[in-house]
Amino acid sequence: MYSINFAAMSVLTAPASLVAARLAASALALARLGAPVWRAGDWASVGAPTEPTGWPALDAELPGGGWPLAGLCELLLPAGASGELALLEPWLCSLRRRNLGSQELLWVAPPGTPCVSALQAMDLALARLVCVNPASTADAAWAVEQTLRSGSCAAVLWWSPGPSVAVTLRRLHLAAQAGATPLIALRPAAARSTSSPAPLRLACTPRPGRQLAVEVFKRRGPPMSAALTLQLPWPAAARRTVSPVAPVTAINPGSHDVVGRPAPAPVVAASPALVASRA
Amino acid sequence: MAVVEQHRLLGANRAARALGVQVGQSVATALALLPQLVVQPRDEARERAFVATLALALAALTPKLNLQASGVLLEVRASLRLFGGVRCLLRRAQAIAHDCGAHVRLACAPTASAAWLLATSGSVRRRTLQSSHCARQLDRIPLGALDALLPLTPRQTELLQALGVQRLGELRALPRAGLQRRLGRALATTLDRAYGDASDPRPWFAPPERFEARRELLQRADDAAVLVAAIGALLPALGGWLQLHWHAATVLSLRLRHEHRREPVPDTVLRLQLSTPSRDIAQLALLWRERLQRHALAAPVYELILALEASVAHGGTPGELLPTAGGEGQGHAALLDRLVARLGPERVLRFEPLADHRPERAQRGVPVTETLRVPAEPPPGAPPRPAWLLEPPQPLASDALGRPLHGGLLRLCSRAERIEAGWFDGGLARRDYHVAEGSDHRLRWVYRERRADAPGNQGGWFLHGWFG
Repeated sequence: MYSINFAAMSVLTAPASLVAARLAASALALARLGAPVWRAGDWASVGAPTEPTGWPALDAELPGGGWPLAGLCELLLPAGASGELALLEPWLCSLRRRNLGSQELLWVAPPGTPCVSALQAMDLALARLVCVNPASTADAAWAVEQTLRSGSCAAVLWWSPGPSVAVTLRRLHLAAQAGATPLIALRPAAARSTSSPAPLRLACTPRPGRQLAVEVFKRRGPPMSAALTLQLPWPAAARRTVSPVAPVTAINPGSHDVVGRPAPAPVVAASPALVASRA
Repeated sequence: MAVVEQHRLLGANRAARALGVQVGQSVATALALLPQLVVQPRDEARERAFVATLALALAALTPKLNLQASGVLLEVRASLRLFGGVRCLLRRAQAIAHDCGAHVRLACAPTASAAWLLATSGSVRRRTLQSSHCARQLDRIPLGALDALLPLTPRQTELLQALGVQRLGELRALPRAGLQRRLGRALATTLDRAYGDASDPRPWFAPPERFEARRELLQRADDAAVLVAAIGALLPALGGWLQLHWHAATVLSLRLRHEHRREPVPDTVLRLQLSTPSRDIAQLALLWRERLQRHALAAPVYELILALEASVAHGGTPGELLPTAGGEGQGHAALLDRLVARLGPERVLRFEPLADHRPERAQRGVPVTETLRVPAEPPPGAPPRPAWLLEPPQPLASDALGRPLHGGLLRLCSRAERIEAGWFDGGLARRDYHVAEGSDHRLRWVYRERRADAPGNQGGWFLHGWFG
């Protein structure tokens, strides 16, 4: 950063040929320093192991090609339940397979009661999931830290609704590194403007049609040019819309799927904007 | 603080002694010297109970213990190698006694009587392992110390004074036949036992069948920190009890006795349930600390009673050179116990499915200390369920056309899934569930209540869950 500023300053005063020469010289000097110098435009070598996210497009944007398996990682969401579980689901399942089901997942302060049927459909082992609902943020941070320090869980997911103190996050990051446990902190989108010790920060925004825009705005690598858009899986019976903005006019009370009966032919009396297609 | 018997000071703590109070003074003299002195009458029953508690704690070193009125004798020959020699063993015994809140004088000798004499006589060197050295030590002990083993009658004392005998060595040097005839066989036998010339059978301490230890606080406690310290003094005894019985604790209870104010305050009973049986004192102390910090005291506490409610047979854990999966599992169990102790069992849950169509009754939160029934495989082709359920469902407003609103108009993306159940248990639910997308593009699970009275009449909309 310092050398770039220096170069920019010299642009104002020196002729172009001289600037180019100085830039080349500084690049040469950096190259001579070798490995200890990391250029902000390069990918940093990631010391900790990673595990693929299950989204190849996202893997390409993350240093090491996946979620880190130790340390803090932040996911900023406009609100809880914005599709973060669908985003993390392949990773959580692969973690379970990787640990042969021996280690547990810990969810701290989730945005609602986890639904058992949905978890079973996701292939998450119920017996290996512990939910903690602390009364206060301090208790939540304590529970997270204890878990990370013990290092006996496969991963910790923490829905932290309020603003978190940077000291707390730093402490948790160190605990996660010491315990070699990944911690995913799901924080409000407003936290983007505040600094954080997390080496990896992502902003997720739901988009129409069950899509999720993911922007990796802090990583040990070059800045991201444009946000990724991931198509999250639809719930099995939900129908994808042809045009996402078409309003639904009315729902005929007679049209329903009774549990266990095969679905009737599509578009009996429902909105014409709905197309019967299953995920 | 001082302990008093028959208007004479029997003992005083260091702070009192530093201010001029001496053992043996009359109470009036001591109070004149130090008006703020706290005077406690001697209570022999509590002394005995404390010695028993101390003996339980020291059972961590050896199972062969013998209780005395004011101390414990330990047979440690078999434990020397396990604990790394006599020095380490003594250091450990000192630490255990300190944890119990006792000020002890340790002595070790080849025979039990000799050790007891060395400990009670106030001699300077109290550690001896060889019998010849031990005999030399015993020879120097004044005759008055023999009271600890065998109280002498006034006639015996008079006779010994007339003979000019002042130390044990001089007594032992007297002709044996005359000694037995004039002073009785008991004295001679006691002397022989102390010097190791005669066998010394003693009854071993039998631990109680149920563990219960109580501790009265010197000052009324209204703070968790005081209680934590008091429990810390009881836990070594629990550890010794568990070790003697080859058990590991699963459920502990703590009864807090409150000071009565205007009306009596009932005792508080706190229970601590462990997810895995444990014999680890440090872990139990940590759990009790978290548990007590969560608890708001109803009134100041003057006594606490720690009891073991349930335990299981446990052979102990073998030491291992390398960390293994077994050790990791124990670490995880300890973590869950810690979380439960601080946050409460209702806040640390696992979930298990139940057989019911109504989503709110189709599952159950199970505390992690209980075992989870192995969940069945999900039925294939199950209808969609959201990742998160709201409890209770949140009523939604609707617009003029009867469409649901939640931060804007909700767009229904699925056909209705009808759930109609509960007529048999009074919790009737007649609902049409839809997946709905809001203006913020998050997927919701909403339902419309169907009224039972008029089939065509539709009730209000409710938000029941979120697709994560």
